[in-house]
Amino acid sequence: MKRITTRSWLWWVGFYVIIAGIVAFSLFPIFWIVTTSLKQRVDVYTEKPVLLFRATLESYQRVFELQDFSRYLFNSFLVAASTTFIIMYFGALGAYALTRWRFSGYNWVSLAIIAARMFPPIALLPSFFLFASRMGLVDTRQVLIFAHSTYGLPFIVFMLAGFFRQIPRDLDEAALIDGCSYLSLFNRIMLPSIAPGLAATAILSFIWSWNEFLFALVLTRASSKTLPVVISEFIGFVQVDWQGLTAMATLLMVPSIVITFFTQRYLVKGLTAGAIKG
Amino acid sequence: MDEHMSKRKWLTPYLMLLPMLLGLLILVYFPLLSTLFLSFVRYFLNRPNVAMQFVGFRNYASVFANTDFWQAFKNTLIFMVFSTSFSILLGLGTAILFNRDFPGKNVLLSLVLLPMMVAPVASALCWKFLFDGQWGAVNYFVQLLGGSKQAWLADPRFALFAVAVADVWLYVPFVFLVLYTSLQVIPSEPLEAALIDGATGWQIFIRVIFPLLVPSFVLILIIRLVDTLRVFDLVYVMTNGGPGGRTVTLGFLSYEWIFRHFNMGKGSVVAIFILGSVILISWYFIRVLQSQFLEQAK
Repeated sequence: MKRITTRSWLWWVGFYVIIAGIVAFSLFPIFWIVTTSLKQRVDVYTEKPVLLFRATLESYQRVFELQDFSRYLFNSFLVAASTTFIIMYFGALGAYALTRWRFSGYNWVSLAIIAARMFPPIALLPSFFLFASRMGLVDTRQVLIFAHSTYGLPFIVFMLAGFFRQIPRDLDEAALIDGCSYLSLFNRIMLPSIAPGLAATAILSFIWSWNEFLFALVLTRASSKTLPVVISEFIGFVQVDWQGLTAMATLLMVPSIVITFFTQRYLVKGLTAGAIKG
Repeated sequence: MDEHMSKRKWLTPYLMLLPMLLGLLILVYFPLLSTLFLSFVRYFLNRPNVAMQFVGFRNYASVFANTDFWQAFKNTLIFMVFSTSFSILLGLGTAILFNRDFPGKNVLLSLVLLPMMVAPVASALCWKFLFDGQWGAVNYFVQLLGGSKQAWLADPRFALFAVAVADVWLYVPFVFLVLYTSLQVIPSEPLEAALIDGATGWQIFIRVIFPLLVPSFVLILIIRLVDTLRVFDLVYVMTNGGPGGRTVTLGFLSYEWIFRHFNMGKGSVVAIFILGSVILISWYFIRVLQSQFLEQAK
């Protein structure tokens, strides 16, 4: 919208001061953790915050010396990457079906998918944990990938449905008349034509799984832990190792922030679809 | 051949949805029913060989008579009200400020959005460090302003609000983004009409803009209430429920009873209580989304 009125310079000074305050509130915690992770011990444990310091990687060195830390980092990456692929394919498949057919039972199926997004994980976890432990699946990466991708799917289906809707149905019909099967129509024509939607999906799914804590906490024990779980275990409640923790928090935070910063344009569209969030 | 084709066509959408529905059945729907069942039995995770014993409503009775439960209920309510209202107020304020053209807008907008994708565990750590009683930067600023040093996360008066600040910080960008996009698509005719009629900026906001924002506002409110109702990660990392149970929320209590005290029955009662409240709050939201699906399938 356009304002017709003109503002005085004082108004603009006030405006920028408030904006600066908001930006500072958003950025300072991130800035502070990242810089602290690069500080020497003496500069971390000080009551007067140190702004100018000699940067060092000693905190990171300490973290990577912890037993199996790189393995856990790899777990996080592997779980998030696998989750992303599963969500993208099956999410697109589901969204396509929901936008192209008004099949019988449509109401129930769509309700089941949407409601699943709202159910709190803590209500599923007790029983799912029992089930997984009886099957001997606790502390495997597979069970975490299954949980992440399934719980993430409903949101993505909703998002992708919006993209499929914009593709004319003539395209489907032309391909079917040419003797294309539904599966190859989907794989060869539909998937490429919602590429921007799939890119946004991939980013959101990856970050979602990378950040997720509660499923990972319950379903992993030792060998298949992911980064958030490792971090939560590293917090000692008597003595807190802030050097190690800030380095770990940076490793957890930076990939998501970098991805968000550079792909915001695509994300905004997907995220605001129906005002829902994964 | 024709009959074969139409049969295949009839089955196609079901086959496409099958993997997802099967997954949801295994991960969501079967476990939900099973948690409901567990809330009526006596069963301990650390004694897997002792058979489940049906106890009727006894778990419910003992949970609702438990002061820890009501403490967690109260904490959760305070957390919900504080965190929801502040994230919405800040998000709305920021959206209104950004709803005009000014130099540097794109960069500043990207910066404001940055916390959006930060992991809750990382947000919790950031604020745990900032609020630290000894090394925290918050104390430094408080002292600069003439206040006295506090052990924010260890003080029963402040701990719950300190956790809520981490939540507000994490979700302001999302609230902002949704309200900002809704503001951007408001048609300009009613605004111009109001301006011509001599309305002031405040009148325009209350009478013209706000009514047009109401649909997104309601959705945001529901999402925020549901998210804060089930808060877990922040509490787990920042305070572990302390000091003296002052930051134990319902989600945390349920986790604690099931996975630390191994009491499946009582923990499941709390989980079912959370589930029921979530469904109650979000029913309207679920129906709105469903109607959007129906519209898409024409």
